[in-house]
Amino acid sequence: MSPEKNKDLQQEIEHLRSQIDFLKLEKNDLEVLLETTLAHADLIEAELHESNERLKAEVFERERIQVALEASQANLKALLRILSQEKKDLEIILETTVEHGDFVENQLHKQTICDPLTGLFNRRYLECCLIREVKKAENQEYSFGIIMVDIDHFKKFNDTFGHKAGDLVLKKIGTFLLKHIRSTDIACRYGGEELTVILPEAGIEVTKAKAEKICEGVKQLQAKYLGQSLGQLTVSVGVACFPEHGRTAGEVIQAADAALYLAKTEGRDRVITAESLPLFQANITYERCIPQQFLNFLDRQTTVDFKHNADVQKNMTVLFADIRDFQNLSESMTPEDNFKFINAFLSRIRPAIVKHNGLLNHYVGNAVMALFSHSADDAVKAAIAMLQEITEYNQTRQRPERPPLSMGIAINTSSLILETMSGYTQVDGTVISDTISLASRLQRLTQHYELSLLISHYTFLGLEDANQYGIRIIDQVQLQKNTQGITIYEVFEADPPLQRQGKIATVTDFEKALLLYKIGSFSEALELFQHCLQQVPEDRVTQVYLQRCQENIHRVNSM
Amino acid sequence: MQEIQSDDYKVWYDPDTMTIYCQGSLRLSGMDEYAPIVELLNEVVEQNPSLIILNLQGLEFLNSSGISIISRFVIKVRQKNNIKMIVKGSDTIPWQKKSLKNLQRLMPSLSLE
Repeated sequence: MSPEKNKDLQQEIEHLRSQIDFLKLEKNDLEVLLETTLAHADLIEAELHESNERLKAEVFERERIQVALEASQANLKALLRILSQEKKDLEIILETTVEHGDFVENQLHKQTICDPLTGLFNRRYLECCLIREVKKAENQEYSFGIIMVDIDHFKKFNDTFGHKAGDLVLKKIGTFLLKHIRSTDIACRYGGEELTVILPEAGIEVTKAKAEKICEGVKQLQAKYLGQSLGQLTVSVGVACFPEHGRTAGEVIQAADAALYLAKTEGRDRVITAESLPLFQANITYERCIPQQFLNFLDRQTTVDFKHNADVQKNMTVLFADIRDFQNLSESMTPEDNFKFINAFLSRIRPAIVKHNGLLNHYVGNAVMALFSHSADDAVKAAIAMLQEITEYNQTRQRPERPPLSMGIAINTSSLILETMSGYTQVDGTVISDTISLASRLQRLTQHYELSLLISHYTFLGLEDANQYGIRIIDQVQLQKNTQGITIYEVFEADPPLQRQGKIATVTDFEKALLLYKIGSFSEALELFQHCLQQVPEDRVTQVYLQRCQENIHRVNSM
Repeated sequence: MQEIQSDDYKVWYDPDTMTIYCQGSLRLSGMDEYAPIVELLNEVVEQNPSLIILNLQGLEFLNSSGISIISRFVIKVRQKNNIKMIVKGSDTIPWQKKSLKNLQRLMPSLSLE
């Protein structure tokens, strides 16, 4: 071999050897890579396998849940069906129960407001309706009428034919009424044989006309019981209207009742309206001299409650008061001041009167009249309170141009007979005006004797315990010709303390002196009066009597 | 318990005629007081008769609780599915004319006489 070929071969071998080395390296690398890749692939595969297993489990679970849900859903559907049915049932039960309850309640309510025999309303319902009707009039002009029907000789029916016949008659007339009234009218059975109809929005003419129709119509009715005719039926009817014949439900009913009573007493089988009642006819004259308020005041104090024919005796006490020398006082003031003064004065004395159950009636100017229906004591206490008020007021009034006020009060009492005719009250008006005029005359006497408070013997006798007040007899007077003498007493409770004490101390002597004077022992009387005067020097009454004694002694002496 | 009686009412079951009778005036206050009657009614249902007749011809008065009891009784009968029911009422008793019709709404197959 040539050296070049050998060199070439050696070079090639070198080359190849380096190639082998290179390839060995590469093989190594590849082996490493393969291992890495295999390991990685194994890992991935393991993970995937795990994942797959998990997914399988999840799917299984989900399918299981799905089945359970479907089962649940089926359950719920079944439950829903059951509940729906139950709900429907309950709704029906509820409706049934409510309807039934309403029906029964309605039935029962009708029973409470209806009269079972006639089918008309009962008295309880009527009274509700009346109140409602009167309320309607509160805000507007409104009138309604009342017709009271009473079956004539009803007891006779019951006695002759038996109670069942009486029931039949009631029923028949009840039905007749129902047929002949408007739909808005209210017919009720008021009592055993009394039927009453309220006619809303009806005036006196309409009501009267209807009453006449009813009265006539009843006569056409034919009642038979067990084949036997019960004879002709007639009714007595009383008619009254609101507001002409009363201001409250009670008053209008009383008026209708009184009219009914009149119908009965005048012969039955007729209609009488409340206008024919004496009280309504006399009303005008009453208003002139007696405050209508007082009649109401008296009426309210009496518990008149649909009673028949009860006469009630009531005591009425009148108090008259005025401010002495008011003329002069008022002339010194402007009209405006006068007005203010009177108002202030009234507002001061009003509480004293009201506190003792009195009714204050401002009379004229500064003269004031108060009326008491409870007791004479109320009036006396009120008068004392009034005087105390004035004394107090005087203490605040100390100014030279404003002299202190002095007030004179007189009280008189009389008893009234309140005639109650079928629940309607009447009073003899002359008694009231006499009582008032007497009180006013007495009041003038207070000026004469310069006394604060005078009471008549009627009042004195009406006092529960006269000893609780400082009282003494003053005189016996005859205020009107041909009338009895009135003994008058002074109540000096409200006098200034010193004077009051003095009068208390001398009252026995004073009254003894009066007695002596009355029997004519003027000298002895004079002595005693002087003794009294020493103790109470400013006592005008004693002074007057002293003077009288002296005059009489002088007269006797000169005879 | 086949019979319940008081001064105001009487409720009893006659197995021969398969009839429950209610007579008088039922005005008991609430479920507690009606419990004995409810028990009687339930007992009849439990026996599973083929027919139940409810005779109310003598029942003059029934309060709200009472109508509720009867309504529930009808539902119970209906739920049994194979019991025939007849309710006998009276034309002369006012509340029955109105309220018994509602029982048919609860159980359409119920006959009202």
